[in-house]
Amino acid sequence: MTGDRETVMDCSRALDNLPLLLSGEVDGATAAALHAHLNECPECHHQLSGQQEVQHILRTYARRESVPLDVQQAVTARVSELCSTRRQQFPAALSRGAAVLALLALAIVLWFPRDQGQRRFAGPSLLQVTVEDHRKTLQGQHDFHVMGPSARQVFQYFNANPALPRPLPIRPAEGPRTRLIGGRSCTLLGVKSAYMVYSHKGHLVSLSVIPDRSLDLSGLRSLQRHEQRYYTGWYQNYNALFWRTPMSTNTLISDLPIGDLMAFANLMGRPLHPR
Amino acid sequence: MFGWRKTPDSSSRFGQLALTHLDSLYRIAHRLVGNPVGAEDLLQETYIRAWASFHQLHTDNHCRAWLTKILYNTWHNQLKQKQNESGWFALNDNFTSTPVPSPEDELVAQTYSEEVERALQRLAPEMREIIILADIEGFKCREISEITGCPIGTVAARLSRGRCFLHKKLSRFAQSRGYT
Repeated sequence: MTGDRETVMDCSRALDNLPLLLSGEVDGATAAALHAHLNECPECHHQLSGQQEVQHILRTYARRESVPLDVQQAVTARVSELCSTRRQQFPAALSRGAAVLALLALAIVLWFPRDQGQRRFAGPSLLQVTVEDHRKTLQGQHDFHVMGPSARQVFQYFNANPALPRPLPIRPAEGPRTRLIGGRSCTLLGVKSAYMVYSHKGHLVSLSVIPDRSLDLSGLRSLQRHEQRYYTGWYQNYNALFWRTPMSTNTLISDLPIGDLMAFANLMGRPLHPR
Repeated sequence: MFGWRKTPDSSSRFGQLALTHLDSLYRIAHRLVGNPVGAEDLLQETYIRAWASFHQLHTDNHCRAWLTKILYNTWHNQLKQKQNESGWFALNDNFTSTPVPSPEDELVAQTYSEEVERALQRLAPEMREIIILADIEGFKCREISEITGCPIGTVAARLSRGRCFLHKKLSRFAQSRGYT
């Protein structure tokens, strides 16, 4: 064949261009060259009809489900939530000033040497919660459910108020990210620690933070062997212990995880003393 | 830098646009992830990211391709993360329960062909993604190129090879349905 690259069309090039021809995305010169080639080449013409056939079969017989109602509701709730958290408009100069300040702050943070022992979950601030916080949570004034400063106080609070709504619900719209739903301070293995409850994908996951300890979980019967290895590794990396609990979202938060944590503490020979 | 200013107008515009394409996004997410729970998570993550970068969407006509691009990138990021943290995801996979099919699911199951679905599953992932976007969701090659970040020539070549593969696998099915 002769001609420039745009108009020369061999079978291989024609085959690669067929999808563009079918979706009307080829320019005039290429389309003309393609059509000329298709008129001369029965094999490529057969490929064209084959591709049209596959297109039609897929459009007719491939699964095309609508979004399920529960997913639709969850996503709609998420979008409404996102839209309601809009930010106020700042003047452009103020925005630029804020950007410069943010960069300066980042530079300062990066400049200062960090304590290698403090990696994640250093935050006692997360745990400075009170029974008042718990009351507000139950009244829907907080974004997440807070257990209170100690399990004992929470139990007393529940026992003194039988009319309180139970169990504490996990909101279905909480989304894909792991969310903090409760936390308290405690003394574990003689060390001031934090015990927190998270949700992940709508399931409850418990997290205990024990600073600067190495740990072997191989004796903990509530974990399977591969989980023991996994969580031990996780603990050693992050100074924290993370394990799932066999709870449904209808279970009282104040029940199972603490039992599990106490079993863990007893196993290690150091009883748990809630603050 | 701080172009992501959210106003009441942009909030309502985002709400309207985002939910218009929910069905299409869910179908793509379901096909990419392979289970409804993961598809829902992927959708939610997609909307969170879409809201964060909503200022980048200049024309409403481009919204479906823009959302699909975010979903596609989110999925591929999750895949990378999954490979890096295989232990954590493996554990969480135990949490997913088998969903009970709804009446809508059963109705859909009566109209689509298992044979077609099986043939789609046999495609290489990079070809399957492009076939799904083009032939099931109706995106043009240029849009798919933008969504996946592949050159348009690569998209067309993969589409061509994928259709060729499906044509062979579905030849008996096509004959039984009266295709020549």
